[in-house]
Amino acid sequence: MTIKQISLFLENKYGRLSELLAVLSKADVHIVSATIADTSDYGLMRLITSDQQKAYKVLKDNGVLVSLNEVVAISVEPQAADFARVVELFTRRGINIEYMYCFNFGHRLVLVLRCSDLSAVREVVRNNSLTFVTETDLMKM
Amino acid sequence: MKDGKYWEPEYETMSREKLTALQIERLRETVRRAMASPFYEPILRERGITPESITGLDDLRRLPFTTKDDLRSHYPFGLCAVPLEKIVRVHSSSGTTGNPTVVCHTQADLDAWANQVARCMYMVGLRDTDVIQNTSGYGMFTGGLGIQYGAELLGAMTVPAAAGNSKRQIKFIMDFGSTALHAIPSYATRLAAVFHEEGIDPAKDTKLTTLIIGAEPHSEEQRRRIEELLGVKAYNCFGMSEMNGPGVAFECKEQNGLHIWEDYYLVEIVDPVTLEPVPDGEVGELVLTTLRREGMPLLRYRTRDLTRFLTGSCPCGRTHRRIDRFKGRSDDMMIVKGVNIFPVQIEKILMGFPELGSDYLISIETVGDNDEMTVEVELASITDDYGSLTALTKEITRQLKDEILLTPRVRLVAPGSLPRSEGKAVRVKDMRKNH
Ligand SMILES: [Zn+2]
Repeated sequence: MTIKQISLFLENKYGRLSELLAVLSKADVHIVSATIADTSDYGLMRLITSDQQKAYKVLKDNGVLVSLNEVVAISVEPQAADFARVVELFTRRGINIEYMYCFNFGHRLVLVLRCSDLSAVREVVRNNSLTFVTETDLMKM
Repeated sequence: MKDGKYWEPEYETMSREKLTALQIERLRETVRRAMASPFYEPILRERGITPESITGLDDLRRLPFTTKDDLRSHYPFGLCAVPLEKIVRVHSSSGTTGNPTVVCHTQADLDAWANQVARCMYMVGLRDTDVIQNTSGYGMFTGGLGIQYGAELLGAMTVPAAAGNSKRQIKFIMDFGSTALHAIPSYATRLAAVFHEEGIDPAKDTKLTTLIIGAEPHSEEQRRRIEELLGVKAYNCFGMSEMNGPGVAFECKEQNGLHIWEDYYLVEIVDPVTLEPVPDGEVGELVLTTLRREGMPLLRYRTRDLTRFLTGSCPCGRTHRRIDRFKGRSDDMMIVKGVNIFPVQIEKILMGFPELGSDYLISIETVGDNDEMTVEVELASITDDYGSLTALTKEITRQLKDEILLTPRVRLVAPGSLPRSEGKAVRVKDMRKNH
């Protein structure tokens, strides 16, 4: 029910992003989603690819500072109302969302959420017939 | 020969009271000798200092400091305090600029030096049954003859292999059954690699038990690694050619600080700018006054080496104070906004964070009318938590401020991104207009 997300440390320096992407291209994986949260000095890039283990290994072997962590990915219709419904369900259940982002996947919208109470997430997903996106789904890309 | 715990128990375990009395008496003697040196005579006369005017250790404060530049500018014999026919050996260390420095020894000086080295060796368990191999260069460099005469006085079998030729060194170690080595840490590591190439396990296949580590600064981790690689106990040895050479201070079996021989040297640790003593336990520049030297007595010699006194008594029973592993050179000191800062202070704080790597860069620049300090440090690990990076930056800043009394800008950077010159990390970049 969770998928692996790669977080990597990215300095705000000219050319650093290109270097990272060059490394990643050696892994021969598809990038599903890449987001960056940043300050003036550095950023944290969150990455989902078609093969996370492979991407993680290539980055690590090339000296990039990475960590692998678990996030929840839920697939919805690409409409604001569906998006809002998920957020509403989570909030009403008292689940604290640390951060979230989304990407298009086929004709669907995938919401990626980082939250700590995974059993509550599972309960909300089951009771409301929501759909998890799995790593197997991602690999089909 | 000797069979007790100490080489010279009467001196090594002397009470502080007796040691102080001995030091005062010897300081008086040193001043008397210094008055015969062309360099010191006019300075002492002008300050009205006579041997009789020395009544306590506080009188040390009235004596002038001596620097390496003084030695250079009075090359070669300006600090010699006896007629040259009394001198039996000179040692010289070359400088990168200007004249070299010269130290003149009488026979009694050489005997005293050998005695200090023998005392150090005995302290770490070496006896006349040991075989001591010296990998230092001989000649003008003091690590050669200094260790040689000390080991001979101890009564050990000596192997004066001198520097280089690792295969030959290993052959000697195997054939002569060497039990102890004197080497700089980088050479010890090199030897371990050659042992490995030759298919010899030094821990199992040799009789080596002890390594005397000379000269080069090294970390505790490096020492432990060398100990493991060679299967030995490694002891830190401090010395400098101006103070004879090796044997000034040495670690005992506790491996916790180096006992500095206070019957031979008066030891001060001072603030390198104000030249006032720092409180016990704080880092400052080591300043030494020779107490027995005849040929070339030195008053308050500024070693430029940074260290601190370790407080408390040593379980080994020796009463001579211990100094810490060396912290760098006082020349590395920066003055920022009127505060004295040593890179080592910053390093100590950074090393306390497991999230950080071992490379950092301190930059100082003038912004407007102010000096601003930036500390860039490489991260060693991250989590997905963005907030923890911000919190980490804040906590590093707070601890640095507590240590150096000003607030630097702290930047976390990726591993391997800081500049290196010739493989060595660059630690300080001073970009101020007047520097
Ligand atoms: Zn001790």
